[in-house]
Amino acid sequence: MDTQALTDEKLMEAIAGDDRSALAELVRRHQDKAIALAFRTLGRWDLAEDVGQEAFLRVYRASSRYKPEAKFSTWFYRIVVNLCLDETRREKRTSTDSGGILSQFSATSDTNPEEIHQKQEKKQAVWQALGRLNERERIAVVLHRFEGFSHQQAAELTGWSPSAVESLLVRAYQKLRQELADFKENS
Amino acid sequence: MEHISDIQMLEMLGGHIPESEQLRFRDHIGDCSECRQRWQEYEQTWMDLAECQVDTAGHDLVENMISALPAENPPMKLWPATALARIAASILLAVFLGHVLGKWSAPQPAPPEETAVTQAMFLDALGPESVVGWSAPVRAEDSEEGSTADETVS
Repeated sequence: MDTQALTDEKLMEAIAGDDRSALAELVRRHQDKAIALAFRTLGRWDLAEDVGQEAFLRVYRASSRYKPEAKFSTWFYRIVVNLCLDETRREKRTSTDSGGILSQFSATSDTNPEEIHQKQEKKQAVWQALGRLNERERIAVVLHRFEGFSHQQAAELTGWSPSAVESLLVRAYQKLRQELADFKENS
Repeated sequence: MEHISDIQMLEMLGGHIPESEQLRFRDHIGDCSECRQRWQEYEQTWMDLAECQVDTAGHDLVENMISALPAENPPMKLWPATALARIAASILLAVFLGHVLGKWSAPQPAPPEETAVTQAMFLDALGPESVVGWSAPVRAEDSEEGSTADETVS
């Protein structure tokens, strides 16, 4: 079976029949977005991969119950978002680092300040500003700015109301603007 | 025209506003200093966030995913002919034994009750007219005229 030619919904039908090649195709199609969303939310590659893998496992386990009326990507993103929220709550409970997940946001692994160029500094500042948002604000920004969802679409796949997403976005952008304005003023 | 809301500006940056409405918004931004300032701030932050690009190359979940799944069900094997033959023979043997044991353990019909009537009927069946003809010497012995022991039964 040529899985590449199948829609996501058709792949799900095949996965319900335990077709492993269909599952592999689905993973290839959506893993980049899942990992990128998780990384921007959680700030760590290992957590991002864990979330991605767990999301696909849940897709596999639920394949027999999947209804094709629901668009696969909406359903799948909701799983990823919920897993990211679970992970941020878990990190808050277990992290001994006072910076929590914030300390993980770094554009470069090189922390030697002498070797960080101005461009790298700005990149790090932006990442850290994103990390200082609360998890709901950060998810709203990631979905809207990086995944390309409208605020209505983001509301649909998070289960939050459109007005809640609107508030989260506006507040997040205000915080980001203030943080980056401070960075530019001090640099 | 009333001012453009924050979410409308963000939706316009995200490309979620129809083009006709975008033109109207841009005209207003050109005319309204307050909306222009807010628009420029949002646009700048939007561009700053472009620094948060992520390269997912090298993060491939396919192999780990497939190995994390439960083992696939083995294909159903066709039973060999010898096994089928043994099963058939076992079934036939079981049926035969069941039949034999059933006959053995089945209750036997009760013997007919012996009465004077049935005895007489029995002896009549052995009378000279019968193919057996035994009763003649027996009756002769019982009679008062004596024995006809010399008579042989033909």
